[in-house]
Amino acid sequence: MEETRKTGERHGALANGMHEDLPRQDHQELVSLEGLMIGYRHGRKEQLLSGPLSCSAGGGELIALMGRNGCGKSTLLRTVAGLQESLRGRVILQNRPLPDYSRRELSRLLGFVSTEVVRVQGLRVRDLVAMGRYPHTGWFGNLSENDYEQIRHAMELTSMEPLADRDLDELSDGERQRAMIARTLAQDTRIMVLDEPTAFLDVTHRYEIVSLLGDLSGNHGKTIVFSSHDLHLSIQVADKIWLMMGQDILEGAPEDLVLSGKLEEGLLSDGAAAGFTLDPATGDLVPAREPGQPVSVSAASEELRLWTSRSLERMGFRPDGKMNVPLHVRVEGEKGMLKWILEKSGSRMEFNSIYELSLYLRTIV
Amino acid sequence: MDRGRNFFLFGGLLILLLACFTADLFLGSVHIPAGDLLRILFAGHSEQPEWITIVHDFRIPRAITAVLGGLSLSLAGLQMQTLFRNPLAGPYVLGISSGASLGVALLVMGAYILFPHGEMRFRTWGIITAAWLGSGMIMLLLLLVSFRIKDIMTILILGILFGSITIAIVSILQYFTHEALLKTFIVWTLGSLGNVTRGQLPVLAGSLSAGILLSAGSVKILNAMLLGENYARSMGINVLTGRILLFISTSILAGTVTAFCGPIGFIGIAVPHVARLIWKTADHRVLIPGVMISGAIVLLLSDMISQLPGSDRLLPINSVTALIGIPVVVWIVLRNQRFANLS
Repeated sequence: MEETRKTGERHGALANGMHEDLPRQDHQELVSLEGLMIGYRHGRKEQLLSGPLSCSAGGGELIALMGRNGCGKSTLLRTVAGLQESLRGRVILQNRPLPDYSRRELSRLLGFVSTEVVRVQGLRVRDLVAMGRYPHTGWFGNLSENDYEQIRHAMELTSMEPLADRDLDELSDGERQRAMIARTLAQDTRIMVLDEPTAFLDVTHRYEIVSLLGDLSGNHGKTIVFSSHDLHLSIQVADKIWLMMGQDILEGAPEDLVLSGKLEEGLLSDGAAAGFTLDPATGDLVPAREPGQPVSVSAASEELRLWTSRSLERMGFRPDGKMNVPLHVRVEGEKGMLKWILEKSGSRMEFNSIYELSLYLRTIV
Repeated sequence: MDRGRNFFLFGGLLILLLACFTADLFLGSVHIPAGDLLRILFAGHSEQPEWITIVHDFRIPRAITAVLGGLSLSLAGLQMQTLFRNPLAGPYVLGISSGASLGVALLVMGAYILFPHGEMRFRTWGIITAAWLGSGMIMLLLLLVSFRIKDIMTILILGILFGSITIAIVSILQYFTHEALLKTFIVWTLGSLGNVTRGQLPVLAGSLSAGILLSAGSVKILNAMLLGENYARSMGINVLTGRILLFISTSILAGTVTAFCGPIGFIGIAVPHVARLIWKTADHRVLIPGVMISGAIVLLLSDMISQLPGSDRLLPINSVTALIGIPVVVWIVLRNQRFANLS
């Protein structure tokens, strides 16, 4: 009956070899992909999305999976979670190939959170989290004292206790995501796989979820693989990035990938993202601009200078430190009574806000 | 807190069920005074011996059939709504009633086409067997499909299409058949709780129990399926086994009721929603007994209405359940516009 078992023989022909000349890392590898080809089968036809992919995740590591839209991140995560068959190659979990696990064994080792928005009327958070215990309970799902303890612990780690009796249907997006993570925690697995856990969330909730994941991997030893489009956050928290590029996957500390230029290349090189560049100072994507007309900015505080410069940049100017340029902006006055003075080839104009200044500058660009 | 509330709800509804059951015995085309009826029930004798026959051979079997039919259809509907994650799914969504119709139509009208000049008399067992075979065939077809097709929505669509094909075949049969036989068939499609005899009751009850046991045994699977098949898989549930268990259980429940009583609509769609409202939960450990008890009450009430108290006419039960059930479905759909976001 095990749906994954059928693929058993196919994995004999693995296309690995990429790691062989590297010294084996001495920490335990919990997840490793060996020449994994992901995609879909339509009868006899195969639609290859990506591969061969080889990379790994060590115990207690937080891995951010990144790559452009449509590169197969969700397919890869579903394949790793055993919800989809691979075309070739294999996924090794805890030194054992994925197809060797029964559905139940796998569910005790790996928990999964998908992008699907689950809305069930009348399903309370407490009952949802309790479902995480299903891999550990009998045919009827009766809970033991230990099961209740695990459920309580999962709710505590995700701060879900105040919402325990709420309907899943009534939760905000961030709360629901936390509830789904709590369910996976109650499942008590060493590995957690999350598909875009921060999608649909506003910036504070994105931070909340990602720092929760950081806490779970750093302090509770979970090995977590999550996909994300949020470069800034991923660079900050991930121990390692799996970067899907073309048919390939690259792995490394975020900083390694930034320094090698691969991150920029992998996320930006063509299509919609063109015209943006990775700001090395912040790890943020910023619009790449043609160097415009130089302008000098002076202000009493660094804060005023910075924000004024930003607005000028947006309008296509190039604020730089040099004073001997034809255009000069000076900020004067106190907070609440600020004035922006524009000096241009002898003439002088005053503005009461950056917006007013920008209205004028737009007319002369 | 929940336990106390559930205890009172189940207790209250059990009393209501008993009350409805008793009230149902009072109704019928022959007026039997309350005192006489109670004497027949508890003492077993009456001045009018034919009243004993009426109560024992007609009214009690009919009321028991209503209880069994109501709880089975509602349970089948609940399972299908959860499995397909669709609030408008019901016991017949797999095409079971169409399959049963095809069986009956083939028996009634096929016989005419083969032997146009023969004498036609159909025993109830013949019709029951034909309906059973028809719905069983649809179930087998769906099981075969579900081994090959992973996507549950595709299976839902195929179920509906199978149903449409059988309806088309039934229409063709109707077109070529004799009027009197057509009437036999039409009467069957109107549904009736009164055709089940004392002798048939144990068969009805026995097969429905098998369906109920399968359903009760799938309670964990049903709860996991609330989150969708991928989540169910990730929690160690064997989704294929679950599907097969639920298909078989639903086919037994809905197929058997249809075989004995004809297609009875809307109970199976409406009652699970009512039960969710009453118990305010999605947990099948509560919902399974909940829909069973509410379904039994609703079909008893429908039966009472169909007796048109105060007259000796009888309405087809299928029309009554539609008249009661559709407003409930409309109300629920309007009240809960989030349905639009489901799936």
